[in-house]
Amino acid sequence: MTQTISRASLALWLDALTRDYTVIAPRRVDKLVLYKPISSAEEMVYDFGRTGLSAKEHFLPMMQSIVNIHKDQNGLILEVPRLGRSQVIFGLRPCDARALRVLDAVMLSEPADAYYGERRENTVTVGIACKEPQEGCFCTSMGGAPDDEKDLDILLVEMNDGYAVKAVTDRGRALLAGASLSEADAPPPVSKAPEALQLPTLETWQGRFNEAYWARLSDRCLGCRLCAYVCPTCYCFDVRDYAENSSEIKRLRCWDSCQASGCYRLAGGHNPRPTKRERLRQRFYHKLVYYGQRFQVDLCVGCGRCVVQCPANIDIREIIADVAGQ
Amino acid sequence: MSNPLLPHLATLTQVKDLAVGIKLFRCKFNDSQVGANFDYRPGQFGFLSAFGVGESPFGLTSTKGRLNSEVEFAVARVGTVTAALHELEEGDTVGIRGPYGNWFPLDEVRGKRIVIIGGGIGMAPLRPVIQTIIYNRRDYDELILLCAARQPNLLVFKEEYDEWAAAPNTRFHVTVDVGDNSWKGNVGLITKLLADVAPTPDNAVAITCGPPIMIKFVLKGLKELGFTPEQIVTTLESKMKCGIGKCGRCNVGERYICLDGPVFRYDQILKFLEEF
Repeated sequence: MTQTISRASLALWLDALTRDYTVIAPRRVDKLVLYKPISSAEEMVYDFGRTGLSAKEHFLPMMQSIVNIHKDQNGLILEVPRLGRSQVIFGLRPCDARALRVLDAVMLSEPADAYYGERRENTVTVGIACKEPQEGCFCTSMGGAPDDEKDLDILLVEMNDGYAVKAVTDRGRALLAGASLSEADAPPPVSKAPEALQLPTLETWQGRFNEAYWARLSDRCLGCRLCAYVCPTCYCFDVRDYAENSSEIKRLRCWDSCQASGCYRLAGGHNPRPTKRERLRQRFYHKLVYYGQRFQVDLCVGCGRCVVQCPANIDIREIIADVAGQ
Repeated sequence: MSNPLLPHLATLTQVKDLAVGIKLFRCKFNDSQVGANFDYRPGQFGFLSAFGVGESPFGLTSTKGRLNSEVEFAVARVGTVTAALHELEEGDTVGIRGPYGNWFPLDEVRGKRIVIIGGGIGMAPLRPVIQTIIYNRRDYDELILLCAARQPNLLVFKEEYDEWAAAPNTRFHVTVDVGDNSWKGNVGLITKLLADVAPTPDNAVAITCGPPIMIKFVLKGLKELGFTPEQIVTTLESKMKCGIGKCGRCNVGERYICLDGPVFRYDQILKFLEEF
């Protein structure tokens, strides 16, 4: 038996959820489909393939104040902004859900990041399995699968006039309490998975560190940082103070990228990664070597966004194949 | 959930010039309980905030227990945050978070001859090492102190030189790259001083901190004197935005300078794929 929900019931359920939660779902923004808050199910896009950005921004916002600093005659008062309402992220793809597990490794390891932790604790994820791979997809190479449920609270699989529903966690079961579910005899259809790449060994990666390959590759790189911004697992951030006026200061944390020329440059001028060669190499070694050495999981989920969005056609799948090949 | 990125407020109780462009900031935590709990060891660092401009990491240059619960940072004016800190005066408020990172292995090197080689502002994290050894003088063998700066007016902690030089079983030397009219001491790079003093590697450990280029040549000089990588302890510095392993600036391979450093044995650094 398969639990199912019709499209009509799904819309009613989503509308009901907007009363208690910030519901975030794939929504059309100009020519893009992005995970953004919706006020009713009508705004949601069902047939979206892959969104332009992942849902990362709802855990690590592009820009957030981590400390509000108020100055007056009596001195300084520091205030930490809190998340208002709990969030439901609807329509998450299994790769983007896996990205949360990957980010948990760094963000929740002690000492844990309080801002990420607060959002993780107060977010329920409802995923939709991918029917077939999009251009650039390689989730199966990075340990995921198009219908992988394990990093979601609820997994939906599209069928006939609705979805097969599987509550994966207690939190998912609780969220489904208000949904009108049915049962069907047939199992949900099986997803088509992308072909898995052969990953290089640690020794191969280490042996190729000083090869001219990285300089050649970086010749093509524009240093535009798009790869980091569209990546569901890139988490590097910058912190700066912004004084709105003499009494109100915000300490802002923003997305950053290892491809920025000043990313590693110290005051005084020392820069251990001075050219695009070192920085581009750092990107791929951090993702595919170092992070796994430290956290036993790679910093990539194979979502393919950097593959299709890089203006210089730098393709992480090609790099994996080049490093693995002779 | 506690929030390690939220600074503690502190008040500057002393601001003084250590050298041209380098100031010492003594800070008292506004909450005395925070000050009492702020437990740190030589080599650890903290983030100092100039509110409205930003925060940056600095080595703690005081020794826990010596200043009640006040802490000190030596700050060279080299960038935006340090310039803002230099504008502050006694009584002004700063933010402090930390302590972060590991520390010099002063327990492990008890009984050994200690060679300390510091250049410029690199003396800041070495000062609590020197103080700890001097205050526990019998726990260590001979102490050889080599201090350097580019020019005489960039030498830091000069007021403390007499105390350091007078410590029992201690050899103390200073050099500057370029002297001036009033300078009567050694002139030359610290590597020359190191070669002249030529400390024996027998039962010795060398601890060095300074600009990356100095460390590079000091490591070479120590090797020539017969020091093995296991006998050399140094520090790595890096841009940092958090100090707690999240911001992605200080990873060298799978190591994080903020969590696994900033203190490394030279043999650990030799295993890194890239030079940092």
